[in-house]
Amino acid sequence: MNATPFALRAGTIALGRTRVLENIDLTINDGEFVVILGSNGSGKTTLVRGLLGLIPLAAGELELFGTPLGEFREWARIGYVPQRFSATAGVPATVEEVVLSGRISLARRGRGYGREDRAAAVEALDAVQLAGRIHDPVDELSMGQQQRVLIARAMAGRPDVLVLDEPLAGVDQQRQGDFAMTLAELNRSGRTVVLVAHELGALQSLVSRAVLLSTGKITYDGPPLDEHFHIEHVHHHPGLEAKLPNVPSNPPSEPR
Amino acid sequence: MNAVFELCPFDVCQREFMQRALVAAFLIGLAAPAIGVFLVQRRLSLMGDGIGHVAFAGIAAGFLFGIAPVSTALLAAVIGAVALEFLRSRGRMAGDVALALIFYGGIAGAVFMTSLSNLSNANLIGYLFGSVVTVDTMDVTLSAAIAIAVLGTTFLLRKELFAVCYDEDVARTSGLNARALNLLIAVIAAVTVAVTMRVVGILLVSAMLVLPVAAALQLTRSFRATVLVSLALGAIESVGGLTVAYYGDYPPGATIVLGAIAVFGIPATFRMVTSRG
Repeated sequence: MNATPFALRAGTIALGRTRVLENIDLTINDGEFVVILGSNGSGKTTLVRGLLGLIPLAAGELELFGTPLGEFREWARIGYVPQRFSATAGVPATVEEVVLSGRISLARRGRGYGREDRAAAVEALDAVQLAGRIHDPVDELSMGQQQRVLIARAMAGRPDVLVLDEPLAGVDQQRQGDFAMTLAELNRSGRTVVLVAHELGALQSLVSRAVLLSTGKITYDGPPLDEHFHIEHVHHHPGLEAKLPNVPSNPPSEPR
Repeated sequence: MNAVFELCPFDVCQREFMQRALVAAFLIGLAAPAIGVFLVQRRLSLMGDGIGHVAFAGIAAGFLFGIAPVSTALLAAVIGAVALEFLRSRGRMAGDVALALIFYGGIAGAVFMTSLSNLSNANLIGYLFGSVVTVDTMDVTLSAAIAIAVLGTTFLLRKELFAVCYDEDVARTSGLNARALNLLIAVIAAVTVAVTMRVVGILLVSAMLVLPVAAALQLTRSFRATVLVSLALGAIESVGGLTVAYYGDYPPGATIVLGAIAVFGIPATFRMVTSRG
C-alpha cells in the first residue's frame, strides 16, 4: 500500500475559465506537517480543493495514497476542515450531530451511528476541548468554537491525513497555541497534516515543510524559514532563493 | 385500517371518501416534512413551489393528451426537479434564479396547455386548491406507496442526506456521491409534491413541506428532534385540518395550511409574551 497521501503531477486547476494554478508538482509525504502559505488570492484554497478532488484538474495527474483520484475509495483516511464555516443551515444541529457526520465514511449504510462512532466523536471533541458542549446547537457557539467543531468532525474519522484550510481564522491567540499543540501531537502520532495559512504564526516551530504559493506558482518548497513568519515580509524579499542552500535537510524542490 | 375507523365514533370517520382522504392526509402529513426538512436545511424552502408549478403543467398536458393527469404530473414534477438541480449545480446560476426559471416556465406552460385542453374550470380549481372529494382508492394507494417510499428512503439515508445538506464539500471528501444524493433529494421532493398536491392543491403544496418544519424549528435544538417534531406536527395538522374542513365545509387545503400557520404561531406568541417580562 502506497502511503504517499497526495501526489500531484503537472497539475493545472482552473476556476471557470481562469487557470488559477498552472503546472504544479506537489507531493505530500506520509507523516509530514506541511504548511501551504500565500497571500490572499494566491491559490492556496484552490490547491487544497484540487488535491481533495473537489475541483477537477484541467490538466495533470493526481494520486491519493497511490491511487488515481477516480479510483480512490479510502476516503476515511482523509479528514478535511474547510475554510468557510459552511453551516448556514436552516435547521439546527448539535455539536454531536455535526461531529458524528465526520464518521460517515466508516458508519454502516442504513444504520444510525453506533457506540464506537459516539466514542470517537467524544474523543475528537476532547481534543479540541469542547466535550462539554456536545449537546449544544452549533450555532450557539462562538466562531472560534465552531471552527473547533469542524476540526473535531475531521478528526472523528481518525484519518491518516488532516487537511485544514485556514483553521486559525477567528481563533484567539491563546487558542491558536493550544490548537497548534493539538496538531503537533497528531503529527507526532503519525498523522500527516496539511494546513493552509496566511502566515505561520504559532505554528512556526511545529511544521516540517513550508510551501509558498504566489500568483498560481510554487515559489518556495522546503523547511520553514524565519521569513515565513509573516508572509508579507517574504513578498518584499527578493533574496529568498539565495538563502535556500543554507537549509540543512529536506531539500526544496526546484524554485519556480 | 377499518378497525381504526370503527373505533372512531365521529361522523367524519364513517364516510368512505373521508376515510380515504384521512388516510392519504396522514401519510402525506408524515412524508412531506420528512423531505421538507432537508429543503429547509439547504435553504431551498420554495423549491416545492417551483416543482408544484411544473406539476401543474404536467396536469394540463395530461388533460390535453388524454393521459391520466396524476402520472403526467408526477413525470413533469420529476423532470422539473431534476432540471432545477441541474441548473443549480452545474450552471453558473444562483439557486433562486434557477427556481424562478422553473417556476414561471411551469405556470406559463400550464396556462398555455390548459387553454388548448378540455380542462374545466371546476377541475382546474380542484387541482389549484386541492379537493379531497375526488381522492379515489387509486389515489390513496398511490399516496400511501409514495409516502412510505419517501419515509423509508429518508430514514435509511438519513446520515448521508444530513451530511450532504450540511456540508457538501466535506461530504464529498468523505466519499459520498453528492451529485446522486442531491438528485435523489430533488426527485423525492418532486414525487412528494405530486401526491401532496391532490389534497392541498398546487398553490399550497409547498406549505406542507415547509410549515411543520418551521414550527418545529422554534422548539428544537437538534436536527433529530426537528425531524421527529415536524413529522408529528405534519400528521396532526393534515388530519386535524381535514377534519375541521369536513365539519365546517371549508376548503381542505386552505384549512390545513391555516391550521399549520396557527401551530407555527403558538410557540412564537408564547415566546414573545414570556420574553416581555
